[in-house]
Amino acid sequence: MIISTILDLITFFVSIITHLLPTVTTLPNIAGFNIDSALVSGVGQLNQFTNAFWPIADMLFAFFALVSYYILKKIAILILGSRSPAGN
Amino acid sequence: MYATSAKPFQQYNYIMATFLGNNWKKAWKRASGVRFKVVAIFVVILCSFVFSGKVNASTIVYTSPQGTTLDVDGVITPAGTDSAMHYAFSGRGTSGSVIPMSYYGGLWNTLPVSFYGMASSTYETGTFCFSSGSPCSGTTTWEINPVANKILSINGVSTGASSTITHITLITPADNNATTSLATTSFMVGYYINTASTSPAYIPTSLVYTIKYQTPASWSYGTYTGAHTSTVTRTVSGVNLDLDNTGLDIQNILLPAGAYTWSASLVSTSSGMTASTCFGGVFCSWYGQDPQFTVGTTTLFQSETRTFYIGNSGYYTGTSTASSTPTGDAVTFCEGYSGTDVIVKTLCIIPNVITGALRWMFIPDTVAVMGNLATIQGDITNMKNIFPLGYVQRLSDIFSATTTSTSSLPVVTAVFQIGGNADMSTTSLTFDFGDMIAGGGTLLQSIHDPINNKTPRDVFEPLVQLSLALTIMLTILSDIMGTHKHQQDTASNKKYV
Repeated sequence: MIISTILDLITFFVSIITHLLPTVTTLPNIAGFNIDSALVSGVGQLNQFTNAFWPIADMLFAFFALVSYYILKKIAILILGSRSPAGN
Repeated sequence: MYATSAKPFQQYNYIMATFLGNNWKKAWKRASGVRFKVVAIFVVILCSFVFSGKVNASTIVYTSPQGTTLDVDGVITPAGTDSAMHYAFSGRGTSGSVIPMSYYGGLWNTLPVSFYGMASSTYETGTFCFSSGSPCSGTTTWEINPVANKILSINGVSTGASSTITHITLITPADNNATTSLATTSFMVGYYINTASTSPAYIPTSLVYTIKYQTPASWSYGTYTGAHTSTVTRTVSGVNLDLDNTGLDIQNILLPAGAYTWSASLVSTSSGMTASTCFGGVFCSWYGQDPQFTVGTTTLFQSETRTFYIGNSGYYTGTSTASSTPTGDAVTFCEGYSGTDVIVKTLCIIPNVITGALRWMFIPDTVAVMGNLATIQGDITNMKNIFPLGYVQRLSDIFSATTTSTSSLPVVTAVFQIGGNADMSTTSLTFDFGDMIAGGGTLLQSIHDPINNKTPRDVFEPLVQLSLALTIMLTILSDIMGTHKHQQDTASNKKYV
């Protein structure tokens, strides 16, 4: 009964969160600019380009991997501050 | 004498010789090999279990009135789990033996039933059915193998359609009193546990059936109302009682002629609650009960009671009456005790109430937990589309090209004027980058190394990927170690040291 009650509460709060927040399936328009359609078209053209020239796909992958490293570094600095091993 | 490393055979001879000389202590000391002691202890424990009744030392053997020995394997394992309902049973009779059988509830109107009859060590297999419907049409009697020491025939009579409510369906001998060629006495009990239609809150955990019989001094066809002189009790627990599949168990037993009362109870310990023994059997011993006397408030799915009669000539006679307890009735059991002693009943119930209360206090209800987990799982599945995670999911879909984002490259058209006047004709040049790039890519893919037949991509892509990987690794390493910082950056960082 006790464990069931705890599980009921967890289920209740999770359900509250999922039912109160809106469901979004596309990116929003900002100042009339449709980011979603722009990204869909842009990424589609990029895919078209990289499909033809495979070194571009590899370079893009390497670029995003490096960007991911810097993002993680910035997050670590944001959270840990001066105690971050990534510097400040 | 023999060394301790002597061969087992030599050791055995020496031990036996020493035993004959009544010097058992010396023999025990000589049996220094660990395996001898282990085996001896195991044999003692096994014997104690056998003599205490915890282990059946042999197969139950019934002797028919005609003096024919019938071996019965009490537990029958279904040979399959599909809807074709395979059954297996074992039995052995003399030449001309017949097991007359009918079924109650009409479970197998149109489904083939596979019976695996065992005679000695030989299995006889075949596909048979009980009804006259498709696909087993034409007759209601099927012979398995009309050879000596085989189960010969099964006579089935359809009595109706299957019921999704019935949890126990029993197979009783057919009324074959018109048959005069039966040489043995036989009886079969079958159970059909329709767990698919039950609520998960009531998980069948045990199936108990009891057969009481009496062999009358002189048999007369009709209802026998005398007292039962003996009881055969079988308990089946956890056999095909899962909820996912239609549970099925069938057991057969060969009985001598007499009057019988057959009862079966499908018991559910609600949500898996197990019945506890009465404090390790202490209270049971006080009241002279069986050590396996159990207590517990359980739910009785269904209870069936029938009476039937088997004649001296070995065939089933008489009528069958049924009484059924409705599904889901909560019944307090003091299993193993059928008396009316209030003290015993109280000792049964009170500990169960306490332990049950404690259990339900701390152990969650399986159904409720599963419901909660299903709800949470559904919520988490939907959470990827909830603000703001929905934006992340959308970006991920776009960049992973799971959306319809395959677009062609833009076409550029340049218009040229021919001549110096504005009203003169113009012409245009259109540049389709898609065609150009695709053509270039195709061209690169179509070039092959004449020796190894490799394309430029096959040759150079590993090198490109290697150089990119090294570049990334060196960049990250240099950033972490600070080996390539600009002088002003290095100087600015020093103030934080």
